Amino acid sequence: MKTIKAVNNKVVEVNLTSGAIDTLTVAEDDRRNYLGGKGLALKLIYDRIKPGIDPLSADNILVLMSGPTTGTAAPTGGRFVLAAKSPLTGIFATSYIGGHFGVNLKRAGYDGIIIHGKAESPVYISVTSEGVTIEDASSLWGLDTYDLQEKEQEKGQWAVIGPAGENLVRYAAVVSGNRIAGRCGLGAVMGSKNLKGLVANAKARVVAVNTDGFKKALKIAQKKVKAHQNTGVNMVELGTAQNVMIYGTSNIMPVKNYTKPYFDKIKNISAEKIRDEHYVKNHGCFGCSIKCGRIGDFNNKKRVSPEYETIALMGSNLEIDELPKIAEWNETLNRLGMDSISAGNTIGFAMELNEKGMLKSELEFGKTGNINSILEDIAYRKGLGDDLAEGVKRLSEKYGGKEFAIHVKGLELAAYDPRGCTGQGLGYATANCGATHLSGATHSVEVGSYLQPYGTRGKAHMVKMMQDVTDVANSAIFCIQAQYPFLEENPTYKNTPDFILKFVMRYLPAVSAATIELSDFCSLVSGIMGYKINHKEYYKIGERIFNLERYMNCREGIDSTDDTLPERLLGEELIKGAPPIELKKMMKKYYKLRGWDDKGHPKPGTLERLNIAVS
Amino acid sequence: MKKKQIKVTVELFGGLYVKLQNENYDFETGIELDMAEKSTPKDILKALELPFFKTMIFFVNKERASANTRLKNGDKLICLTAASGG
Repeated sequence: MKTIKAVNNKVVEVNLTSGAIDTLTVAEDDRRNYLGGKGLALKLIYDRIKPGIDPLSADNILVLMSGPTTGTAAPTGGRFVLAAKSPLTGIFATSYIGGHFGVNLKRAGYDGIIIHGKAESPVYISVTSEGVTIEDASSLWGLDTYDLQEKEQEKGQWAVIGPAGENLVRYAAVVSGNRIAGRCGLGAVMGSKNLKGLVANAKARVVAVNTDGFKKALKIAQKKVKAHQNTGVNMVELGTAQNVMIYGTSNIMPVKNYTKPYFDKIKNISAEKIRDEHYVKNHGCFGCSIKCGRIGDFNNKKRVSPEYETIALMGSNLEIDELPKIAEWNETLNRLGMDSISAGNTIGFAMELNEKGMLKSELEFGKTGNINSILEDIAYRKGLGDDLAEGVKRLSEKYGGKEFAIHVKGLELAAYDPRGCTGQGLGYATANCGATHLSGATHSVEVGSYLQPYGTRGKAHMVKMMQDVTDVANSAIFCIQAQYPFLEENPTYKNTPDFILKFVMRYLPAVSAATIELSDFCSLVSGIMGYKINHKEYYKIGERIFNLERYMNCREGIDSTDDTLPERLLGEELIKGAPPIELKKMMKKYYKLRGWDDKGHPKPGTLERLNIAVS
Repeated sequence: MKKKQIKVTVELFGGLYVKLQNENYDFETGIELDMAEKSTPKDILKALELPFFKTMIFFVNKERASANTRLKNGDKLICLTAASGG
């Protein structure tokens, strides 16, 4: 079989307005400095985009990029990233997805695709080993994501939008198989370009540049993924829904638009319940041994079982405990192509608006009622759905309720209430794309009590470290699930007594951050890339990517006033007697660590140290 | 002298629920165990033939607790395994 190097350095540039298709070679410096995935996608956009453009105009640039791991046997090496300016937040966004499209893109010999302009009528982009073409998609426009992929499966592996993307719902998703790139509305960016989807079909074996080094590192990594409690047992047996009992018990899972600390009916929506009463089989992304996804039987219908975020935002956040209903809505969201996190937050906000008489509707907490038809109305922008399609921030600007509008920089919160894990609050406030759980996620460290859930001690260091390490992982690209065995399945972590780990993390955070175990990441990535990347370089790549995105957002007007949390989370007590989130105190320390000025802008010296060319 | 006995209700979730082999366990109510006075969550896991590892989380009567918290008669213990992602 034909072989393709995992780092091929070939990227295709498509202009949908003119129909031009060119191939470019990734500059050596860009590859070394930004690795691939998120980092390289952002750098390619930075080199091409003008500040201030409308995200839904032809001027926006969408990049789909694989990582060096994509298509290799590296754990969770089946993922790719989409990057563009977000129509939900107005700043830059990346969204990650498994499935099989990215692998086929790589097999065809392309590391990524840059998409400019807007087609005159609906099109899709076809990628094979023979090249890239723009094809007519008139007959596909209007199809939902599952139907399209089923109807056109002989063409290859798809990444598509549904009706929500076509109708420019600001949190429209991109779907590949039944995996979802949900966050920040990049499906609407595709819709705005009249781009229904991309399909890739190629046969080749993706090989690391240094095969011996990679094989050696791979053996160790695979062993650790299997040995780790989370990736070896919990995720395999329960999927991400295992978080329901963990975060629900820890008063972190949102309940009734973030007004209650605990959902009394929590067991009814737990992973344990799914396992006992609905489980049919596991499913997962290309080459993944964890296979955290599952298919369930819900009222005699086989459906993709909802993930934690969906269960929390469409379940406890709406005070709903009927798993079959949540599974039905999950499928509707996937078919229509919408982010369940933003949708759940938006419906929860609308329920509270209704409760307060600020926007009358049939939406009520605890009532499953017409939610499925509301989801359809959002996707097709009908009636109330047209308002809800705008997301929480814009809804609050139109109808009021800013004080209980749960978003950061316009992106609705993931399912971790930071009043029970304050470092996560700093993570949300400073994450480049808004309130994501995939940048600076400290909730598990705080729930596990290595850092205290409340207070500020050690939080700024931990958030910065996690943001930087995650940005490299998102560039390599590893699934976030793979981070924990790499970080924790090592003798230093396992053999150090708990009290010492806690002491170092809380009182010597700089030591903790500097000594974090990255050797497995470094070895795997070094093997794939064909040159050695050490601990220091690995860390610096993450810091560079984080600061590049920050700088790009500063050009769009982002500053320290945007680095905040919703009023409800800063001002309303969730758990009696629990201390409030001391965001200002953590932020001051965080800015200093980042090398940013008081306005939240990276200082010239910081950009220079990281080799970020200012434009 | 034989230690005084206490009754503790135990609920297990995540990997612990998966690993438990005890037909008396009920997902809705957990299991009631007779333990020696001053037993700890670690002792409970041992009694249920379950492993202990670092990333576990314990709550006693809805308050955070450690693996070495001494339990009292009538306490309700929740044992969880930490997780990530979503």
